[in-house]
Amino acid sequence: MSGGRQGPSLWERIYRALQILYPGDFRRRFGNDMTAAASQRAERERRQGRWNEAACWLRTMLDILPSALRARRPPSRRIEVNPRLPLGDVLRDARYAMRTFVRKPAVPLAVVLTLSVGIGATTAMFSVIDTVLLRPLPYPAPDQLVRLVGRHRVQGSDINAVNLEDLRDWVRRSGVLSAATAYGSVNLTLTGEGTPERVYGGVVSQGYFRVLGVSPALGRPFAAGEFEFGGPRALVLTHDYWASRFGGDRTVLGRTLRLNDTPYQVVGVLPPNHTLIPSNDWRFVTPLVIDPASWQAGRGPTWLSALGRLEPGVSVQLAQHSLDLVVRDIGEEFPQVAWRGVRVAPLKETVIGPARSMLRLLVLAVVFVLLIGCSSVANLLLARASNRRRAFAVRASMGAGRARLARQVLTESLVLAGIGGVIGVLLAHLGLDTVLGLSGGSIPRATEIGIDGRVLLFSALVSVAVGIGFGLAPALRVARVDLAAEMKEGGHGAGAGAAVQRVRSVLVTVQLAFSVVLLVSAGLLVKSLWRLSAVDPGFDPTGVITFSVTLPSARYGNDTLVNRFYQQLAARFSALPGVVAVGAADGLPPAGSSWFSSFTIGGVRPPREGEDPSTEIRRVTPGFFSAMGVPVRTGRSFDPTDRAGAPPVAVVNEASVTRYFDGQPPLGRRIGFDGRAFEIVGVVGDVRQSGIDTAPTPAIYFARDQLPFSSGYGVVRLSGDPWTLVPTLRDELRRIDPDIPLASVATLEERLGRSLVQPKFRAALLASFAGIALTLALLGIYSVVAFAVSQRTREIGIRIALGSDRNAVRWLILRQGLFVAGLALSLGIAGALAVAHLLESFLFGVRARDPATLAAVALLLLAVAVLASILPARAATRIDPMAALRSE
Amino acid sequence: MNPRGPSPPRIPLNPKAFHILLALTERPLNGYQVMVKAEENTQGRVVISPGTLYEALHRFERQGLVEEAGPGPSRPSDRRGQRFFRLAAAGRRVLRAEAERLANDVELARAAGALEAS
Repeated sequence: MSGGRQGPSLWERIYRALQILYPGDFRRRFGNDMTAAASQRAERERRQGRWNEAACWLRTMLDILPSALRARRPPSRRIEVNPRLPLGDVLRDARYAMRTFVRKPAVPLAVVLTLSVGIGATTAMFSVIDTVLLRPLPYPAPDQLVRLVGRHRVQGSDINAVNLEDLRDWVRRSGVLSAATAYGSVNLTLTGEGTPERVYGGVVSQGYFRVLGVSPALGRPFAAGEFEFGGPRALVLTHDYWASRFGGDRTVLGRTLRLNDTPYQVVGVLPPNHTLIPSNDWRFVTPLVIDPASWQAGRGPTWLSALGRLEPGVSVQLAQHSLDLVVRDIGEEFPQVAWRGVRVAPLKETVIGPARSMLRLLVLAVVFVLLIGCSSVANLLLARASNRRRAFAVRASMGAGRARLARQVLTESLVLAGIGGVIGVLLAHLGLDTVLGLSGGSIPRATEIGIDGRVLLFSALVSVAVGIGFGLAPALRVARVDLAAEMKEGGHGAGAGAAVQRVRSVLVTVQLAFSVVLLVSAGLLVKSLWRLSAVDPGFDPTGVITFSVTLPSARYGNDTLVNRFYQQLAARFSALPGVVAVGAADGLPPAGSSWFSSFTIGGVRPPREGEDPSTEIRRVTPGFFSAMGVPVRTGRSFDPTDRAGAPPVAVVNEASVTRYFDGQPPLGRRIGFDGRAFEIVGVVGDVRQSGIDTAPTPAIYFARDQLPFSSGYGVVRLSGDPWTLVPTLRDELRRIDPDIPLASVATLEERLGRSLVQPKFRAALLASFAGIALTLALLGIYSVVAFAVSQRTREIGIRIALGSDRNAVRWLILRQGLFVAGLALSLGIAGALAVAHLLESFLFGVRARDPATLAAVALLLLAVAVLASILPARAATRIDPMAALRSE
Repeated sequence: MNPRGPSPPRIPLNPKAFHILLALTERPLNGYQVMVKAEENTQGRVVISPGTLYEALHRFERQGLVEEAGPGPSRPSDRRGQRFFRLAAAGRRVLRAEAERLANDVELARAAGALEAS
């Protein structure tokens, strides 16, 4: 890329991409040479001008198809360069087709464009579906892998926590698991390597690598001693982190890194491109080390998730049954945990589970786009074929067989579909990364997705199916041509014209009906997105910087130290110019982790029997509400005097007032929690804590100093642009403690925006599909109405000659477009109502059968129908009656 | 792929095959040079595109007609490090057989008066 040479040109890049058609070994051996030879030849041609260069490249690319076909055939005994393929006639037809396309390119161009969009979208979607749903997970014997999900047997709900002793018993007593492992995610602070950094990674119990069937590419897996309390701490880095943070330096192996002020020795590096369960964002894996003191404390709940490998031949049902028995036994031995159960879920299901309904929606949308594309292409080709009927009749009368002519029409559409397919694959290749980028993590296994041989095979099949599908109608028509009538009528046979017109009207109606379904879906998603972004989150997100704080327990071992840290943070940050308010909390909306717990009011549990006895618990510093912009409704917020030793106080939100205090201001009432009585001193506004689309739930706020947490989030409200102050905040934090990083910095608006990423993605995708559909619909109506006008020239001429009003003529034509649109609208709306349930889970603040959206789509479609009919209608009013009559 | 090993070559040769082999008679050439040489030899009547060329070279190589010629004579234009090919002994024999056949046919045509101006 340096010196005189530039990078590969676009032509070279396309040529390279097309070389995928050759067998792999051939391509690896000669690919570079072929590209070099081709571009040398093109360079020579460029001296004759750009067009020569382009022609040279096109010739080079067209040469790929026959030579790739030959390269894929087994070696023959003959020395041939252009062996005659058994498809001689077909190739001749194809060449003839190409020539006619070049002579009259408008219709073929429209067809190719339409098809490439349809096939491109289908290809991209298939590559997603193929990877996510159809392919096995990238582990050895992936069908044996299961998630062991904790269950609350009484409530019948999943609890995402498994106990290590339970897990051990499940494996030992059931006999259906060959191994099992527990894991959890942690954030640790890396120090001593330049700027302190917060690193996200996993802690895993013994057997994690063995269960997954993964082993480090460098170094070794963990040794047994490294899982023991007080033993040496070990660390395995992921390949990406090793490459990006340590530059792929092999000497990192054996080095000691300080994480949360504890030394960890790097013992291994994972292979590249490996997918870790549960998260590809993990940057390291370290052994789960448990203090035996807490181990002895009994089978308390833990924060771990579990993964198991089934014994060969054991089904999920059998495993579930055996584990149920084991769980019952454990429950009898330890009655205090008798409520705990386990659910066996195939790993693949849990990986793709949440994305399934969205993928289903997208598949449906893409299939609609393809169908719309096909019907509009069939329409175009039908019009083209009926314009060429006279030419065919001439050829037939000169002895061309009907089968031969029909085959030629079919070949033409196959060639068009083939070109559309190739361009479609290129489009898919280019668009896939963009789409995955926009998806905001809503598509699982995204790193594995790509266009490979299977996907290409699929696109080829779709192209051929499409080619035959829409080529068939014109081909059959050609086969039925009535020679004598055709020659006599001069290609304007009234009967045949009417038949074509009927077929085309049906095609356009179908196409419009599908477009209506897409438009309604897109409309609903856009409306839902609009509703979602208009939701009041309960705080003011403008001009606020947030960051996360992790205090290593090694140096912040007691509450006094932690409290001092947060007091200093508030004091020092508040003193900075431009800072309006500073606060901290154990979680931030709209996706903060939630802690739910039960409590009492005046010593009594408030909810009635059978109701969920828990409420959301939040711990915040005095400045939190003003930093977030959460309004205080009555009473007061926390202030710095609410210290550890001071009288315990609490603040509740409005939802709590409604739910637990019958709407009466509860100031002065007492809440029993954590063995203490907290006096309610204030009421604040509701905050959408667990997501912008989730209604606020009752919450109780406690003062941080009185109910401490060590790791949480800082919130700073600023008077100016929040980002300009970030370096100052970072310096200031370093002055408080040089080893604490200012991590996960984001404005509150960005955090809020993240919850809109997926709705935005869905709305954008469907809106672009609907846009394509609408454009094609416009073209479809136009072509049908224009064709009708050309078929009825004589009739209209007579009407005008007989004194028909021009407005009446215009209405005659407009009516045609409106009739098709109206019919399609009723079909499409029925279809939209039928698929409404697929959308329901994605909608917020709008029902799947929203009348306003349906009405808007109806108006839009009618407007499009009028727009598409205006030009032909005007053309009809200008028909010269004399000319129209004479021409026959 | 082929259990019988390299198959015995058969003539007549297709014109493109003939000109590829012919281009390699003097000295080893890389792909681009073969294309240029064939075009020069035929005044542009035979134009070979890279796909066809390399597919043919690949097959000829398996049939023992051509072989890769190592790094080859380095030329300033050859900055991309393309492979060079040279004619193997079998290739020379096939080329010769084909040339003789053509010469023979031309003789026949001449004897029949087909080459005289009409």
